[in-house]
Amino acid sequence: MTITTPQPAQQAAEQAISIRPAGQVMRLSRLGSFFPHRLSFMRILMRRLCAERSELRISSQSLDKDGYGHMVLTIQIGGMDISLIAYSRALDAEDRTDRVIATKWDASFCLFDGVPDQQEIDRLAGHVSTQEAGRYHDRILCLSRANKSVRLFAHVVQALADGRQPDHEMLVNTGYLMRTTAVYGNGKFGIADRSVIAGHDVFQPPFQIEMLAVFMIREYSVLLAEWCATQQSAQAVALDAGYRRYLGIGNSTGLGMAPFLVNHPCLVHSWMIVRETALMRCRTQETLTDTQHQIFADLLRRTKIHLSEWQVEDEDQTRRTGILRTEFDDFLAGLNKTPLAERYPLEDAFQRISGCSEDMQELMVSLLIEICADEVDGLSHCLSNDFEPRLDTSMRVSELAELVERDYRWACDIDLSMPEHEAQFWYVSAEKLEPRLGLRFEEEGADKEMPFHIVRYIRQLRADMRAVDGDMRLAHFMLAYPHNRHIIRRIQTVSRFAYGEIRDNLVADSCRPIDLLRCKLSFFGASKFDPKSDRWTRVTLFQGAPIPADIAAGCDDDWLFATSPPPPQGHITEPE
Amino acid sequence: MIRCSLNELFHMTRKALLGCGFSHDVADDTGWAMVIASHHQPRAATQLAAYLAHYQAYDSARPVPADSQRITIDGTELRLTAAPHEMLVFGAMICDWLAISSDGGAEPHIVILTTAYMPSILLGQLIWTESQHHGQITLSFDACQMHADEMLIAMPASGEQSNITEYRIEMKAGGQQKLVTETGAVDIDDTGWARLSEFAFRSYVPESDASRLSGAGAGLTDND
Repeated sequence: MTITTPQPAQQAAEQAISIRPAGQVMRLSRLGSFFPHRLSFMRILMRRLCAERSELRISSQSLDKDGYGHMVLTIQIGGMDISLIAYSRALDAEDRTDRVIATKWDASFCLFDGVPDQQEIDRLAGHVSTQEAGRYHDRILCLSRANKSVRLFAHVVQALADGRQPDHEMLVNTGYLMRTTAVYGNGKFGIADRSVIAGHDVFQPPFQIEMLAVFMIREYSVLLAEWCATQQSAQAVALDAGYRRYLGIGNSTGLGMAPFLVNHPCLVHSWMIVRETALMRCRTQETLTDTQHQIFADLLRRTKIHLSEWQVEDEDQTRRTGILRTEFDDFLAGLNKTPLAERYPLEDAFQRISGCSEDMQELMVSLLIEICADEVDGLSHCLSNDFEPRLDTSMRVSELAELVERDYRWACDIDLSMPEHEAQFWYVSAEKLEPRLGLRFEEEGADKEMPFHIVRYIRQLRADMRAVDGDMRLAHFMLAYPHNRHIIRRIQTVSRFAYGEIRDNLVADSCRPIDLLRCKLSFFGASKFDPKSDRWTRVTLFQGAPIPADIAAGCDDDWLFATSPPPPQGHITEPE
Repeated sequence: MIRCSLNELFHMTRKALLGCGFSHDVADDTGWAMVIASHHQPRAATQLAAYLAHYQAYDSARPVPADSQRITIDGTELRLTAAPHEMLVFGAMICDWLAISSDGGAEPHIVILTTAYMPSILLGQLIWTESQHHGQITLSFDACQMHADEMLIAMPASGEQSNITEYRIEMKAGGQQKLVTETGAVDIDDTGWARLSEFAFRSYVPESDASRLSGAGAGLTDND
């Protein structure tokens, strides 16, 4: 841990501020240190909703006293009505599993384009409740399911029915009433392709449909609890707004999400280059307004509390969070001693932590981006990328060799004679139909591995290229060496989209898939990562986000690094 | 009939190809080709499923050695003689060769293809290629000349063809880029979809006791 001496303003100004290169950013350990930020997809959605003062209403409901039945929530966004159709049913404890192999859930959902009539609600019930086993049409935009946090849900219902607010500690410690176990979009099981809805301005940034679904599920979870409370008692009260705001939606994320970052190099490049561009724009701000200084100060105070509340069982994460807290405190102490430079203050802030852990560096990225809304918010429309990788077969072998040397030097240097450098392989499980990670030298299935062994492909390609004339065109080269076609297309793609390739060996024994998960989840906007192993994590989505009443009032999108709310005034935790 | 989204069709096709032993690049291309082909020929997916089923006893995915007598190069001309079961592998070669002229400003490159069978998926590959490279591909044969998409539309629903034909295939610059992820979906008959699913399943790896124990979420307590 190193906090460097603050630089004189002039020195900072003279320093050339450039975008961080892909070779620095696209390392697994750094990706695994990302935090949510202003351009995270949830944040983009919430800004849109707040700007439109979107109203959410219950457009249909048929629930019994236990909350089983259906509820339809409808929200207006971008001139459209979008509805969440939620079905809930009784579930035995032994059937309640968050794993993808489950076939029953406490609640199942679909996001519907428009407002469904009763016939549609009835027709979809049999499909949505079975999720993957159903078939859908293209007015269905998204599918999801969720299980209750049984203890907290029951407690909240009982407390509200008793006319009091839930136990503060219990609510804050859990942080959600339901956990989603999957959110399916983009054409799965016949639902609408992204292309069907991406033409709408509001859904042009990535994953907006999926984020909207989760946001509405969050509201549904509270409405369901309140409904159950009112069925138990005429004295039932509504959940306190602060608690309502703090409750998010839980989610367990495993390996299924990890390959996305490898399989979509063009899109990932856009995400990364947008984030890095945002950072650069902040660092090159010559001065800050008084308001921005105040926002930064407020944000630092909130972040300190957030970090102290980020408590997990995982030893490695606990160690890292401990270091992060110390570095953050040191940064604050440095600010008290020496305020930020008047000129290029954010570059000053960024340089002060340049010797700190990657966690601290990436935390600072999120903080800096937060205070330059005018400079970065417009970048949200650059996060999409519909380009598909293609082959330039007219390229000469010698040109390709140059690209390999430029962009894949990291792979050339890895010695595959050492088994640990290819100890693992990625595959799709026949049982789960989900990506998994196996041990190459101990388990069957490496012959069906996903194409993530970049190091081997690069080494094979280099060997084959050495056997031919460098002037040969690739179309000709691939006639003789067709097994290189996949990696050649990838190299050419990365030559245009440099941030689309992770510059680390994804099959080495040292590869930690959770780094991939955290990167993607940070772009979703998740926080308080709670790793349960090196290959799955729990997170909470939309914790601290505005609630429908805030949105309808046109509130600000100011909830980065949310903290627990104070107990409500006159708070009673025990029955009178 | 099953109504599929195009993204679903892409992935199912891709996985079916992988399950049949094709390389990832051919599987990717064929996935896109299927999305295109299905727009022009509603039975394209069913035809591909039948094609894969029919030739599964052959080594369809095996690359043809470049020093084979059936692959020869004469300047800018690539001559191929393809057996029916090799058409997907040859399709990649054809597309790559045609693309030379569009990308590098090189003189036109042409392909002379001798084959007894022109599957719809190969035509989809050609349309996908012309879309990516802003070109327009024509096929000349038996005193006829057709664009790839015209030929796809004209193809009989059964996909059956009888005459051994030599095709001269070339791509000229100036074609319009087609949207390959156009809004829409496609209907596939149950048999074709079931066959593709069956092939796709072969690309998955059975779980072992060890993998179950080390899987994500193992040991999770869900009733908190």
